[in-house]
Amino acid sequence: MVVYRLRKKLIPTGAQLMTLRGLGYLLKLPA
Amino acid sequence: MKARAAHALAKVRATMSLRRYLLLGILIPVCLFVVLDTFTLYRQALSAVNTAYDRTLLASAKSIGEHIEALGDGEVAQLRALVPYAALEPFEADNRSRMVYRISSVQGDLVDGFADLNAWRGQLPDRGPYAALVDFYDDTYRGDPVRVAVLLQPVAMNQARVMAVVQVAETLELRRTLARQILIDTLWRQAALVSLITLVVLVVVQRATRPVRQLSAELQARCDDDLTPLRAPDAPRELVPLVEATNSLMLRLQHLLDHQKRFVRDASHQLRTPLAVLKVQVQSALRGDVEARQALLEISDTVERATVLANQMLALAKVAQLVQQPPTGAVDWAVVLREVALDVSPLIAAKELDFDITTAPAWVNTHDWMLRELVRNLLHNSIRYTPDFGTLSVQLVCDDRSAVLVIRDSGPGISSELRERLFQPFSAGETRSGSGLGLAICYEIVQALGGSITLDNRETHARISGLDTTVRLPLVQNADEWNDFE
Repeated sequence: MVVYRLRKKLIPTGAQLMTLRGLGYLLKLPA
Repeated sequence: MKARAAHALAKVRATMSLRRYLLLGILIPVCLFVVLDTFTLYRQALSAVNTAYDRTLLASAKSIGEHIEALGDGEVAQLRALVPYAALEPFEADNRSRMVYRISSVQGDLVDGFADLNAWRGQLPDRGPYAALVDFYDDTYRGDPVRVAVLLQPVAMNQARVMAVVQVAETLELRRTLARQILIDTLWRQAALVSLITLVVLVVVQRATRPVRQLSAELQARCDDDLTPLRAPDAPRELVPLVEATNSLMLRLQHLLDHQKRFVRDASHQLRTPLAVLKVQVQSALRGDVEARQALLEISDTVERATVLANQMLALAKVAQLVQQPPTGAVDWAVVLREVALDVSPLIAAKELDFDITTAPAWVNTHDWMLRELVRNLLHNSIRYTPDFGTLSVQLVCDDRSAVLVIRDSGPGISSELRERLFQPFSAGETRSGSGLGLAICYEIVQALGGSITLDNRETHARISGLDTTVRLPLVQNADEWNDFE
């Protein structure tokens, strides 16, 4: 739920939150 | 102290030639035995000589005893003897030794003979071979050593009953001469025996070590690059394992040399390619064919590829070096795997791969660097060949004796012709995007750790849907004890 909300908030910035299952999350900034 | 002596002995043995070792090993015990045997023979001969001469002395004492008379009555009778010295002459062997005699009563009163010969004061021993009242002993006469025979001679004549003591002494010149002669003869024989044994041992050792010298000469006469097998059809059975081991070593060296030659050739070619590209790019930029920024970007890519290639070559050399060293201890493969996955996560994110990883603790006896390099190369390969938005799955599981890492990607897989030379440097897959050394490094590491690596295409509906890379490494059986010890 927290990740879902964070992803929604990141949409305007162009950044993405990627899931690496078993490892964690990775914030991918816009180029 | 004992250990130091043993170490010194081992050092002497190590530096001594085989021929000298055999010669000393045989001749020293033989010489010791010969010395002991000579001493024993001499003692036995001397004893035999003494026994023989003692019998002569006894015979002379008995001869003298026959010239003794008793005068008077009973046990108070007087002894009388008239012994011409000529009576002793038959018993004198030659003129080098002298014989003297003394006849006395049991109380020691001189009856006849040489007064300066010491009177006998001893007890008669129990001598088996001489039933008579006889004794032999060593004494001196006028400063010279003598051998003395004593005979207690009962004299009975008319009413007289009395005991006479007859001593006959002989100087030792003859005995000594004979003993010296026996010693010299014995020494000559033993010397001849030792000489014969030495000669035989020399010839036998020389012949026995000839194949070794022939092999040595053959090896020395070879050219530096001649690693053909040794031919020794006449080698003795003891040398056959050495020849076989040497030939096996030659074969391995030949393979290693071939491998190194091929590697140097391929490495030179691979290094020359980015340099040539770099030269073209620089010339193109100088002529103004491309914009400066574009040219610098292209040059940067080329330098990056050359750097990767150089680093991979160094990594391969480092693996070869670490293989010779003992492992540093037990390393948890799961921890290494997760750390490396974290390092390469930007690459995963760049391709937006569907990634997942599951691990279980897996303790492996290795160098931390080698395990890290293995995982890094495998993940880099899988990420490189997986298309954008593809899937990449990493799984580390354990069974009783080994840990198994399976990396499943959704890349194009490998062709059957590549499979044969997959782990050879610069021969696997597309080397333009990589160094061509990654799988070779992985193979060397896995071999060094006693494991195995396989790459298998995964098929779905008769079409290749990806590649499964499987690495199996032996587990440390008692990792807790190992770490406590460390």
